[in-house]
Amino acid sequence: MYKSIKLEKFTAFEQLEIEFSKGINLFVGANGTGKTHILKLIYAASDITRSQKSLAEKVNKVFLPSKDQIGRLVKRSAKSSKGFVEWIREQEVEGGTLEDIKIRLSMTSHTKDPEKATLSGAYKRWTGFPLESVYIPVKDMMANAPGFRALYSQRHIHFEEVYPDIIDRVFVPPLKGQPDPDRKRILALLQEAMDGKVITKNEEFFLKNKQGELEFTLLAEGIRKLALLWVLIQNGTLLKGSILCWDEPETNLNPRLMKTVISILVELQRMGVQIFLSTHDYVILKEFDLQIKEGDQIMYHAFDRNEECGEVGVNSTSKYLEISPNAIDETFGDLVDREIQRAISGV
Amino acid sequence: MYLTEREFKFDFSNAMKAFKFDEEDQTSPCYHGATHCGMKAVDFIVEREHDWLFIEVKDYCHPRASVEGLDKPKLRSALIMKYKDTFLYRWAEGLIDDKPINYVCLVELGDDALILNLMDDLKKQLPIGLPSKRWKNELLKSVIVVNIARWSVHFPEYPVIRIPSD
Repeated sequence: MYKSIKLEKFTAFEQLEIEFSKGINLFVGANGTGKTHILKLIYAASDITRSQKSLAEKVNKVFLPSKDQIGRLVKRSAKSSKGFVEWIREQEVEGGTLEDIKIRLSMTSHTKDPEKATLSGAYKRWTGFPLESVYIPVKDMMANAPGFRALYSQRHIHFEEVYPDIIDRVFVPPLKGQPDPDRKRILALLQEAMDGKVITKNEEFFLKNKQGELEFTLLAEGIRKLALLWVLIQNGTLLKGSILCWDEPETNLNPRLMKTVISILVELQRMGVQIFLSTHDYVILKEFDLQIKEGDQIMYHAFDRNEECGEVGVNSTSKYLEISPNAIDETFGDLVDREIQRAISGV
Repeated sequence: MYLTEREFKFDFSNAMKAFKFDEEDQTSPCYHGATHCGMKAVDFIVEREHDWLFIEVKDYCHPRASVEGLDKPKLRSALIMKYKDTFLYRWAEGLIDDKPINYVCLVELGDDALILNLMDDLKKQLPIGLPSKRWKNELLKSVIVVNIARWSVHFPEYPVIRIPSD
């Protein structure tokens, strides 16, 4: 479980520290405030605990700076500068006690090779406790799965590694045995919403129901999202203790399906999945606000670029109405103002 | 000229006229007196230089706000009935004049998206302007829904404050 992340002179951020909820974390804010960057950093640090790849290498692969020069991730400035990212997670260790584990990745704007980036902190400890994680990118990949993994591994194609990674996650075979009651209930909810189950044949996905088998390329993207969740829950990628990063779940999703998706995310949080979402969508925010009950863990993190200094900061709150600034509601506020002005103009 | 509804205290000193329309005090000259037959009423009527404001206040952030009132269709139909009955009452009083009437619903709901949604609903269900070629007179010019924040933006000349509940 992540406790916090701290950045200095990294990508869009001069200085930033966010303390996370152990349940749901919602990132809101205008475009270009770096929400996706935080999702990618959380994911990269989680993924290496399973793949045992180098952290710098993974960060580089998910951000894909030009010519693979990791120094390009340091916040741009006129002179050379040094940036870092620091992750702190709480881990249940030997004997059942909780321990904070901290790692830090530092680099200068001149660092080219990821191997030259400096790693400090309890890295061995960090990778000694595997953290199951998944990053759901904006674009659906399930329909494009056939052959993509092979292509990615054999050729140098310009795709952030979150894309092949999500395909790897969905090809993990189902867990053995009957799912526990919680998982069973969530799977049933999803099956009802998408009217079927997901099956695979030779790396191709199909939605199977009474009408037959429908290939994913023929399915609405919104349904593919539900299917993706179904697969990740069925194969045990999303279990207690795992990390879910999801960039803009609203993309291509009918607002009516949002209620189901959010209820599943709330349930996953109750099961012990730590969730990080970025969103621009009012319905998502409001659904969380309405579905969260006492005992649920949620934090809204509002990213904002300060008009005077131009730097991005973040305000965190557990209360929906205290999200500040709330770029989404401000947009509605502007619509309301214009609507009122139109209604009473000329009076 | 201060008028109070629930926890909201309005200062209408800058208006030409402002009074509590649904007055229940029988000794008051503004006593409504026609609710026995089910007539509904808005809270305040305000006269300005170029228009009338019919104002209804609903505070869902109030601790004693009725749960029933949170039902959206009921809220919508209540707001619509209040306007129509108030207009009829004013017609019976012989007080409908040439000034247009703007219906302002101050609904403290929290966020602006809900305000916009309610405003769209009311616009669909109230006969704004001249909806039929046969009409000679407007029933109302417009309906707007505001929360406290938006009230302060659009009606800064009539400040409103929230007074502590007893």
